Amino acid sequence: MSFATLLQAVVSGLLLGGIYALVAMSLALVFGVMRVLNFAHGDLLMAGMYGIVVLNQAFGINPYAAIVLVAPVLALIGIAVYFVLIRRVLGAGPLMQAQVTLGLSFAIQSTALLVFGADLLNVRTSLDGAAFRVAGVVIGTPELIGFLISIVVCAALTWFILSTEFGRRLRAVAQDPTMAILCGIPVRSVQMMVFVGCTALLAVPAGCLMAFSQLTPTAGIQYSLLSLMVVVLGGLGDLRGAFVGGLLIGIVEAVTSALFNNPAAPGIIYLVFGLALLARPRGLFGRGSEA
Amino acid sequence: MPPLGLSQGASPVNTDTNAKQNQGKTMRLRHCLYAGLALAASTLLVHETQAQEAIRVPMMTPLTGSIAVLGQDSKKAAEVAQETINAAGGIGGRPLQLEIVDTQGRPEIARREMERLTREGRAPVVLACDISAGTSGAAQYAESAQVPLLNGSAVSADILARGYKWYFSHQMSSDDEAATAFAYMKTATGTKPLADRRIALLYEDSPRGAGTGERLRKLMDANGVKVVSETTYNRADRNLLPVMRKVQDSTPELVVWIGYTEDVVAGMKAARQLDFKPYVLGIGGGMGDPRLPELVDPAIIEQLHVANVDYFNPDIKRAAAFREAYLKKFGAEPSSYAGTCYAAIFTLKAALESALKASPDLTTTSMRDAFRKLDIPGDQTVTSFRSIRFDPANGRNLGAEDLVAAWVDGKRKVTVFPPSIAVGKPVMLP
Repeated sequence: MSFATLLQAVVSGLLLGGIYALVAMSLALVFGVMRVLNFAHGDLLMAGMYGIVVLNQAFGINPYAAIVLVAPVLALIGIAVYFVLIRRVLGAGPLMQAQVTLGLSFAIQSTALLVFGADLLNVRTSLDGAAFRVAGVVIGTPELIGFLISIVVCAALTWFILSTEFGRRLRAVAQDPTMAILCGIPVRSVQMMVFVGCTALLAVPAGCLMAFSQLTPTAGIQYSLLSLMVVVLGGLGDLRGAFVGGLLIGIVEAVTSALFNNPAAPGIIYLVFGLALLARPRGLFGRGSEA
Repeated sequence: MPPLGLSQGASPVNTDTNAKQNQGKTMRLRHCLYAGLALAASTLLVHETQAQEAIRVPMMTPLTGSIAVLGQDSKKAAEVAQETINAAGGIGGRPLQLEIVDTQGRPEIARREMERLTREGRAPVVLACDISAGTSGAAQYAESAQVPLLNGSAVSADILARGYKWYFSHQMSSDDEAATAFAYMKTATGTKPLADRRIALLYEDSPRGAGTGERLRKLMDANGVKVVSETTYNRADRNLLPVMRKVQDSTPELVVWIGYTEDVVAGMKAARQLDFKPYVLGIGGGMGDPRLPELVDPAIIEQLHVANVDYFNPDIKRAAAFREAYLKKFGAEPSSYAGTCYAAIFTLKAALESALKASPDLTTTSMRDAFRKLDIPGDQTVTSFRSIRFDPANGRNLGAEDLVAAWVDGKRKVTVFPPSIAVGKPVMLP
């Protein structure tokens, strides 16, 4: 394989990894503040992707513009999921939390199958297949736009957490919920808002992904697994780790796929993941919870 | 008449007793008559009920999971087939009822369901319109339980290589696909020898893709045709740009590409981004999916001059009635998955009719024997098959033959090979 192809894989992986990073950051935030590992995170993302497809096919709305309309819908779904399911397992054991969120994952998957059928769906835009070359490397325009939007949103999210009053409360709840209560912070309210906000935020990667990828009712479980892997790699609850982990997983995924002509290639990503955990059990920056 | 008078007069009691005895006999006779009539009526009723009782056959297919599109299309085909068969009088006067079982596209579930259907359901025959991995596990169990399994969709030749005696594969095998692809390439190359062409192989790495890909490479090697590159990918890959770049680096004139719809769509988009425009010969459901022009810009399909080795195309004459019924019911063209499953259901019907002629009770043995005796001419199917006849050594359909359909204007598929059923002309390589 030529160096140009390897470089192509790195760049393609980096662009996709930027979107993974945003998906993983919202999952990491939910875990950091609520101590709930949401196995239905990818399915909520998938619900957003179906929303993007519906808006595009019914009204011809561009997937990037559709983000603005899908976000409030996802927020409403987030409120329903929080009050019906998540609130009841806050503070419960990880097994119970896993069972509840896995159940939610299957419910979303089955609903998607019932409503939309098993057919592959995608969105057609004027940018379909658009690309340009930089030093022999092909950069897909929709992939680049998705990457840039995700990076901007990741930066905005970081600024929000570090520089606003709500962000300080959020960090307080993540660091020590008991002390946060003693300081007068309405912990339950903060947790609810974080869950709803992170669910709504999934509209952004949903729009970016639908600009160039496809959708089936099983897409959610793939994104759930991927984001869980990124979050664990980055360190549970560590946002910076989730961001870097997302980029890394994107690159490793693309490079292994290009390098190895073997059905075992997808397994290499798990091998890298395992080795990274052995070396850094608390995540890439050593700041997450024990994996 | 004295004796009689004497007798009548002398023994009034006896006379009364005789009358009672006679009355009792008459009553018994009546009871016997009623019982006989009741028995005859119930027998007739049973026969009548049997005649009307539906023939239930389980059909395993992945309605959910990552390959649910195969199951959903197969289910639609089953609905059309069942309605068509029952509207024409059913099977031996009895309606056919296909009971659909979801395998989720997972081998362990396919095997478990096969076990349940044969142990608890005591099914005399099971139909599978499933992927190769699922069918493989089900076939293994069918063999050990000695229950006939009719395969309508799986192409893996590895299952046939096991020499099962209770497995009957209506569908063609990876060997058939490779042979058809090679025969078509020899036609499409025109005057330039195929050995002088730059041909690349690209396939997803599941047993389905890899099975056909490896067989085709061996066939090409054996005929002195070298591949310029052989590239595999996982169908779960979300990013096929690097993979397509690798294929592009080998500068092929023709790419033979085996994939499912999801990865084919991603790969075609990547080819456009790379400005990579080889001729493409697809194999399998992905490149032949009738929904392809809705998923990618038809201009990409046109630029790649896509033709596809397939097991069904709705434009062939023998599929006209099925196509019309399917279009009427679902408002869409039947896919290859739908076509092949529909054809298998009619093969099942023929076997059921044959078994019922031999004995009114369907048993696993009578069904196996019926499959072994089948010899259906190709023009009585909706597929491109020459005939349907099972090899007793391994259950292979000896008359299976693929077709090649070419996309015209990137919007519709036209059957171009084999010449016996072709509607259009092959896509010739430049």
